Amino acid sequence: MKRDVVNLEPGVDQPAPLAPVTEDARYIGASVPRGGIERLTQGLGQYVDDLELPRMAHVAYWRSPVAHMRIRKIHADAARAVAGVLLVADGHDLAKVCKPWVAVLGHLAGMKSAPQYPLAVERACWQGEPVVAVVAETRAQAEDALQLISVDWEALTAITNMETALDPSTPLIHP
Amino acid sequence: MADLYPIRVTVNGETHQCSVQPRTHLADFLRETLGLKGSHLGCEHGVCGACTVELNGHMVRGCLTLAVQADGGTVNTIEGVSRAGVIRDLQQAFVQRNALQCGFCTPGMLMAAKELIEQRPDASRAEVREWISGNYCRCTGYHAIVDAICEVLQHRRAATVRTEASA
Amino acid sequence: MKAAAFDYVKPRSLDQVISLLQEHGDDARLLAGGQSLLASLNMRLSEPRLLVDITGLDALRGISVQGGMLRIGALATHTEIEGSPLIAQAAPLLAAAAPHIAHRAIRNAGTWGGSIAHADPAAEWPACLLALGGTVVARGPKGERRIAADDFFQGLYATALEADEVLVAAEIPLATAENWFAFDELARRRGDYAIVGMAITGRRRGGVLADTRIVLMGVDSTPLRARRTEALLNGKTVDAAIAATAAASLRAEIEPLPDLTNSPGTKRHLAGVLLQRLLTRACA
Repeated sequence: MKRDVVNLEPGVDQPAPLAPVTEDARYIGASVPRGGIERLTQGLGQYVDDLELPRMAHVAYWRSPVAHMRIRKIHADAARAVAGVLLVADGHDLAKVCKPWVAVLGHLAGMKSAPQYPLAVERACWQGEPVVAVVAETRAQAEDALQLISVDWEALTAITNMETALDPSTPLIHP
Repeated sequence: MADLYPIRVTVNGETHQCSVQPRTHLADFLRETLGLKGSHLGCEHGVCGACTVELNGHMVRGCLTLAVQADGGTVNTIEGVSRAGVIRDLQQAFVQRNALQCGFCTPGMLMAAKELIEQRPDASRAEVREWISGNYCRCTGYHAIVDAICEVLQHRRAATVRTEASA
Repeated sequence: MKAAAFDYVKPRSLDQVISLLQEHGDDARLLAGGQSLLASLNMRLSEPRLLVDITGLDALRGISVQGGMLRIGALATHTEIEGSPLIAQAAPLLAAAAPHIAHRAIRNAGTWGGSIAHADPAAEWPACLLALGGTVVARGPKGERRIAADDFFQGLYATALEADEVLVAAEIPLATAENWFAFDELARRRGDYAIVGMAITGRRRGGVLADTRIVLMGVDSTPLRARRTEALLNGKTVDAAIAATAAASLRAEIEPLPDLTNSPGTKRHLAGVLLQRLLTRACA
């Protein structure tokens, strides 16, 4: 791999690279080419956005605009009527088919997160937390329908200081 | 609202007649309708350069061009340009200098570098850096990419000098 | 992010364009290069029902001298302006400003007329047109009219164009040997919108300045002329002391608006920095 001479300036002669310490084969200092690199320079990679699966749908989310809110009511009828929309789901719908996950740490026994649902249930606890999922045949249709979602919500106190969060008087985000 | 608009566009040498929604941008048309996944979407508002393709001989942002604007035109993507062999030296330099890690920015970088080498064959390193400042890379830190382009500029210049000298 | 749905039409005549504007009003938007419009559509900041593509109108292309003025058609791209030998000679300010516009891929598509009609206060062409004392040529149902740059930019993204008018060209006086100019932008990264940008033009005879026009980008809702500082410079020969005085005058004269990342104080300070640099560079 040709990386001995760097900071090239076209038209300017570069100093000869230093001679290697040894010609013996070895691992340290060896250049290992990235697997598949030729294919990637030809636009033949496959990234997540490139995947096309049979009957694949697209989802767009209504996300909480604030760090802490109580979800009062979700108005989804107009979104459901948009062409191409397959499903509009909220946290309660998904909780019926998907248990929350609890994060644990292998090296700190007993340490675990609050149960985390794929869509917020009752309250959203971080800015951007997904609240409503709009699923449609195309991304554009999902975004069209997303515009018609409206959510009645009530802002709650945001807890933003790690140290005062430990005070008994500070409300618990995850009781 | 009328649904579809007919277009006729030559992509990588092949002419297609399609009906598209006016709102479909060129990058989505290439990726979704023609299955040419090599041009990527990074930001969809023109700043990252991952969607860079060639339209009627100039590089443009695929996300800021509508498919209907390519009607009657000619598009070349990284796939076509690769197959035509016209950036072989650039691609080899990228490989040899490890100018990509994940490779997501690479098609856009190569399309931009191609136009630089055509339009500014005498570019300095500073000019190369300015030229590709419209293509973002999150992996490499850019130096290897700039080195690869400078190496190709150098070689092409030397080849021109040799050709002129022997003429 | 995908744009909301819209219809599209590509008329063959300017009259057709004008009658579409009359028919659809605010529901229609003109599409030239689309480098600002399509970005805002993709982010759903704007949802017109109809795009009227004017790139089929060849009469709106071209860069030429007509009637003693440099006439640049609305559809001239930034790249065409950047590479035009005529502009390098007759309006070198534009040749200096062009490389600052976004990046090459944007410049290949974006247009002179689109930038001026969109009237972003941080954009290069509105400021340059104002600095050069240029003229917008507009066509509407009542025919053609000319609007001086000083009267054209009226507010944020607001111009003197009527809803049923199309900007067909903008004209610039030809540069003479006495004309001097300066241009620069301060931005965090190459191609970003300017935190502060500046275009200066004027005449200089024996080192003495006259007809100075100083236009700032990115400090107000429109490109901004600093008239008090212009008047201060007229009749003077620039040296280090005058440049410093002018910078102080500029800082006192302007009331910059903040943007998402820069306070009025930052812009005020940088405006003075730019003026001092440009005066020193040009008159050294």
